[in-house]
Amino acid sequence: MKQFLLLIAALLFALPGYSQTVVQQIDELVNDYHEHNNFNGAVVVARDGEILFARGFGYANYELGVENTSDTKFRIASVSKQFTSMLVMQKVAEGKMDLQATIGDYFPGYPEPQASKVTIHHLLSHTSGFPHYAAIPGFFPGYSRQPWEHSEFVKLFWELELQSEPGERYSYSSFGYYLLGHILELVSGKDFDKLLEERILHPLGMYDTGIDGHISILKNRANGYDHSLASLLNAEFRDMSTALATGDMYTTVRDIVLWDKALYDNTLLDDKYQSLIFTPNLSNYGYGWFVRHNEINDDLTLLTHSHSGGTNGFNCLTTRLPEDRYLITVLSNARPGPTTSITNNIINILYDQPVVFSRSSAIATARIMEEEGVEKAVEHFRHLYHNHSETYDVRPGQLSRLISDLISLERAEEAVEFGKLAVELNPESSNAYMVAGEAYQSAGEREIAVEHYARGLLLDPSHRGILNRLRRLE
Amino acid sequence: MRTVFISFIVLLFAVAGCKDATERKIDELMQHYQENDLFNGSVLVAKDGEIVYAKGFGYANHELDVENTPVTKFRIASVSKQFTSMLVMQMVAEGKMDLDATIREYIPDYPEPQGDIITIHHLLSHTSGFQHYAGIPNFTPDYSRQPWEHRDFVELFWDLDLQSEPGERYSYSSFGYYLLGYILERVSGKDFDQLLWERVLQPAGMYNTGLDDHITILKNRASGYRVRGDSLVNAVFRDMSTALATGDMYSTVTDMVLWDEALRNNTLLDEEYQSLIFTPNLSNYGYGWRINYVKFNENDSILTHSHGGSTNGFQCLSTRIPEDGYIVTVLANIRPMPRSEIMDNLINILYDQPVEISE
Repeated sequence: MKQFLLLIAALLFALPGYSQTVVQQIDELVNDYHEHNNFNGAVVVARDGEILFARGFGYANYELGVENTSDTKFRIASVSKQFTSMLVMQKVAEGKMDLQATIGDYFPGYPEPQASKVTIHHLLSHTSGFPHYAAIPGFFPGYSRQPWEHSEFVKLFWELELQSEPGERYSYSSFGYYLLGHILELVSGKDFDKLLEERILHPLGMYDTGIDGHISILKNRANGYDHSLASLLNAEFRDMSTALATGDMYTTVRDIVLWDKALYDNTLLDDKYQSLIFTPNLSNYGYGWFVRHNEINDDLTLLTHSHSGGTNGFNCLTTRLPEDRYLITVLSNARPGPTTSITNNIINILYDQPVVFSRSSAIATARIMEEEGVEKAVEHFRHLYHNHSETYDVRPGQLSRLISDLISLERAEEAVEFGKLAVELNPESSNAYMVAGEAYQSAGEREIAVEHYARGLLLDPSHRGILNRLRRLE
Repeated sequence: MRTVFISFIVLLFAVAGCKDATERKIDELMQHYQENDLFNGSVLVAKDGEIVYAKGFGYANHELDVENTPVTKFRIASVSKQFTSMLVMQMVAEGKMDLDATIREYIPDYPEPQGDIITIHHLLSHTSGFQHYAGIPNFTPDYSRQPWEHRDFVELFWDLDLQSEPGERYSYSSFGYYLLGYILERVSGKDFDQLLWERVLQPAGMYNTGLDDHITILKNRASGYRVRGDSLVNAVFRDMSTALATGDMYSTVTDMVLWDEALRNNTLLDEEYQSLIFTPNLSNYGYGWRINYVKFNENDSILTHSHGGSTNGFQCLSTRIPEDGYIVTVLANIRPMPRSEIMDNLINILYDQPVEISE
C-alpha cells in the first residue's frame, strides 16, 4: 500500500512526457550556477503553460536572510518592452493607433524633424535612430535617481540628434520605448500602469506583475544586488519613473508562464496583429522581441523568441521556443547573473544535448584573493588555467571581469597583477593587452598603459575598445 | 537562617513581579502605538547597563515579513550628532582641536566672514547661525538623492548667509554638524567612518553600529517606511553622503546600552571634557545632546540627556536619566512616530506615573 502511494506520488510529480531526470538535471544545473557562478534568482521552465520546473536560488534579501522562491518578485527591466508592444498592437488592432503614423500624430508639440519622420513602427522595431542612455552624459547616477513626470522625462531626450535616418538601421534605444509608453498614455488618456493592468495583467490573472514604483509596498520583492569580486553589494538606487514602458516592470517566474500561455492562445490579440510582434525586422528584432533561428548543432535549429533585461541589481532573460511551446525564464537579482548560459544549457537538457558548464574562474580566484591575497590568487588562476580548463572557464573575459571589479574598487595594484597575468596567458590576444593597459592606467602608469594599448593594436589594428581608450587618454 | 532564606525568596518575587509589571505595561503601551500605525521599531530600557526591557514591534521589512527585534539595525539620523561631539571633544582633550578656534583654522580656504567668526563651540552648540536644510531651496528633491564628496557637499552650504551672529542664538543646523565631521576628517587625515570606528565604536564594543551607506550589505538592516494617507509606503531614497556626521549612523537599541555604559564610565573621554558635552548652552543644548528636566508634577522632576533623530523612513529618540542610570531608546522604521509622547510614557511607567495617551 505504502509503495503504491509512493508510486502515485511519483507519477503525480512527473508531468506527462517528462521524466524526473529532466527536472532533476535542470535543478542540478542551476544549482551549479548558484554555487560556482554566483547565480541568485529564480528559474522557470514550462511547456504550453504547464510548469515543469520553478524554483528560487539564493536570497531575495541578503541583509535579512530571506530566500528567493518561485513567488519572489524581480525587476525585469527591458523584458517590459514586450508588454509595451502588446499594448501598442492592441491599439493598432482597434484602429486607435497606426504603425505608419508618426510621433507628431499623437504627440502635439513634439520637436521636428523627429515628430514627422519617426513612425510607431520605427519605435517598436528600434529603427528610429534614437540614441540609448549613453547620449545623455551623467544619466547614471545623476538623472536616473530623480523622480520624473513622464512628459518631462520625454523632453530630456526628445531633441537628441538621431543616429541614423529612421528605418535605415537597427539601433537599440530605451528612449524609443519610453516614448511609446507615453504615447499610449496620450492616446488612451490613462496612466501606463493602469493600461497595463486593464489590458494585460488582470485579463490574464497576472496579479504578481506590475509597474514597480519604489514607493508602494510590494510583497515578496527581491532586493537588487551587484557582483563585486566574490561578494555582493546593494545595487545603486534608480528612480523607476525613468524606466516606464521601457523597463519598469516586475514579475515572478510563475506569472511569466501565464503571459507565455496567452501568447500561444491569442488571448489578448488576434494572430493577424500578434504575428507582427514576432516578425523580424532589422537585426532579428520584432516588436519588443528578438526572433532568431538558433543553431544548436548541425542537425538542430530552433526558432526562439527572446528578450533580456538589465537594470541596477537585476538582469534576466526570457526565451520562448514556439515550435515546441517551451518557455525558459531566468530572473536574477544579482547582476551580472549568467542568464544566457543557464538558458542555453536548459535548452541542451530539453533537447538531449550535452550540457556545457564551466565554473567561473573569476569567482574562484576572487574568493582566494579575499582570503589569501593577490599573489596566491594570481597563482590560483594560473593553476586553473593550466590544469583545470575543463572544469573552469579560464577565457580572457574572466580576467577582464576581475580587473574591472578591482579597478572600480580602486584596487589598482592588484588589477595590475592580473593585467600581467592576462598578457602572460594570452600573448596573442588584443583584448588581454587592452585590459592590462586599463589596469596600468588605473594605477597611474600612463606610459606602460599606452605601450600595452599599442601592442594590442599591433595584433588588431582596428580594435575599437583600444582606440576608444587611447582617444580618452588624450 | 530559615527566615533569611524566606525573605530572600519574597524579595526575589517582589523584584520579579515588579519587573513583570513594568514589562506588561510597556508591552501594552507599545502595542497600542503599533496597532495604530504610530510605531514600528524596537524599544529598549536599561538601568546601570542591565537590560530591563527589549523588544521589537512590527516589521523590519514589510515586503518580506521580517520582524523587528532588539538587534535590528535602524538609521538613527541626528542621534549621530552625539557621536560627532564625542569625537570632537576627544580631539580637544588631545590638544588637536580647540573649542574656540574658528573654522578657518582647520579649513584655510573657507569663505569669510563665516570662516573667521564661527568657532567649534558654536558648531557643537548650534549657535553658529547656520541655516538648516531649508537654507537650500529644493534640497530634498534636487540634492539629497545624489552622491556627494564631503568637500563638495560642504561647499554647497558654506557661504549661505548666517541667520544670526555666531553665539547669539540657538538655531539647529545639520550643516553645522556635517561641517564638524569634515573638519574631523581634515584634522585626523582619516575618513569619518574610520575615526568613528577606531575611537568610539570599537572601544565601546558597539559592533552593530556604524556609518550607513546604501551599498554595503548590512545584516539585519530595517527598511524605512512612512505613512501616506491611510497606508504605509516605502520611504523616499536619500543618499547618505548628504548626512555624514550630522545623521548618517545606524545602530541597534542594544548597542545604545553600550554607548550609555561608555558615557557612564568615562571610557572614551575624561570627565573634565565629557562634562562639557552635557553642559547646557543656549536652549538647553549641550554638545550633541539636549539637557532637560522632565516634570512629573509640581515638585518632582528629573534630569535627562536626550536627542532625537529623523530621516526618510526612520525616527528615533534616545534618553538617558543619569541620576538613576537609565537609558531608554526608541528606534523606529516608520515616520512620523510620536516619539516624545512615547518616551514620556516610557519614563512615566519607569517612575510609576500615569500613562497619558493622546486622542
